[in-house]
Amino acid sequence: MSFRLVDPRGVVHHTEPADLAPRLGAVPEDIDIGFLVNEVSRQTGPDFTRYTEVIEEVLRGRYRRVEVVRDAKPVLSRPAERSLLHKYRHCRGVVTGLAK
Amino acid sequence: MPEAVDAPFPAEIDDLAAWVELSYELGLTDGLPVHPPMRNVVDALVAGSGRAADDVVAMIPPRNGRATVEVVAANAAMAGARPEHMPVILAALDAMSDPAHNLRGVVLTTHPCWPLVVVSGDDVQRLEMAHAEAVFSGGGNRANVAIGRAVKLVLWNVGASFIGEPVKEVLGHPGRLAYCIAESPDSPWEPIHRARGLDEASGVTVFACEGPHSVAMWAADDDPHNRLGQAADAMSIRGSNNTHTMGEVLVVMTPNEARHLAAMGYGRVDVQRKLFELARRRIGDIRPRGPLRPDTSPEHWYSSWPEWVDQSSDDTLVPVVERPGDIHVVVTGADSIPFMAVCPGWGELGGFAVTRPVRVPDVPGSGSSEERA
Repeated sequence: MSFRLVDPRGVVHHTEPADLAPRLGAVPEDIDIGFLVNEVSRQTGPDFTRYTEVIEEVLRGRYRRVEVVRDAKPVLSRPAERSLLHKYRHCRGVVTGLAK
Repeated sequence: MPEAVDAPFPAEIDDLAAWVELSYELGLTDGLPVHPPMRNVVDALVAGSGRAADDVVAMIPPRNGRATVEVVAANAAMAGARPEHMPVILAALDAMSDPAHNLRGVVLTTHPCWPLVVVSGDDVQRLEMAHAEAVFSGGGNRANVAIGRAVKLVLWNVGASFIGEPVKEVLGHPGRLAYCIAESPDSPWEPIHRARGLDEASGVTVFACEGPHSVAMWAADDDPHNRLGQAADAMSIRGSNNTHTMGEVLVVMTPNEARHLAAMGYGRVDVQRKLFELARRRIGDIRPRGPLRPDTSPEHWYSSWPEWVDQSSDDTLVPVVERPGDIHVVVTGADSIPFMAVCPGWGELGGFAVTRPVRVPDVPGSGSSEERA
């Protein structure tokens, strides 16, 4: 006797796995870079807004022109809205997931 | 994440005894044994829902698996649920899918919170749910545990909320195995779903929260101010997300405690207001100190607090929620010793309470009103 079973996992729409972004490699003298901080500035933990300001200072010392887009998700627990991501559309690279 | 998550699932097996090992090999359980989702059992559960098998109940994060009624029924079968439990399970999953609940964040967070399913109204007695001793651990009752377990298995199998990757919960939460309570019909107040504006016989409220922190009535006299002050103290501990970011919190009290407060003229709203008044913390007690946060300047103020909180003074008393209605009050537990419990929420980050009606179909096996008549 056999027993029929029902798969409890449901249907998953597979998407292409998200590979890590390629390294920027040799960066030209002009650079557009973005920092997307994972949470608004808060009292606990390091301040990544300040941290990105320090990185910006370092970059300005190395490159002829540096354009920085810096923003934070309003709530760390939700994915960034499309409108927020749109601000970074012209950036050569974006550093995300910055948090305590 | 179990490697076998997408491994082929057998359409049938010849030996039921082989199911136990197979369920582990396929990663279909979080560790507890599960029943086999046999076709005839699943079909009966689908019938109990009164809905079509291919109705989509929700897309379950984080992998956004499609939870149809049949898939939910398969997990309910694994949990040992009965057909009459299905409407509650479906209502709970529907509630969790509300964006306000932020289910994706709840299942992935480092914080020990998990969606608590609170069943209230007529269904508590229809399903013979436990609402007395040990209610938070199922009360030794099939319905409580099976409903909570079915929800958990859907989140596990359909959403792939596996421990470690992607779930980052640091310490864990016993309620991740099954987290369902029923509100006591012995409450002096209306069921919580009605208090939340749902004019239905039965409702399900989901709220992502920590486990219950016990509040005994040590040294409290009969004065509601003093008794609720015991709970308020537990609500405003320094390590709580609510204390630092507000959000929502659950306060549970036994029926006799609720009746005592009712006899003193307190309704549920009065309890919420009194707790809002009492559950506060002096900013100076919770403001971080140290080289990175050395002062009280505005750039270091809490950004999630409303503007009416004066953060310039260390002596400001800050409530743990923004408004009294963010304190959810549920009456349940043994009618013996007056007790309360506090279940802190996730703070501002989500897991907020969502309430849905339980739609019991008029179909055989569902325990519908027609059947009961």
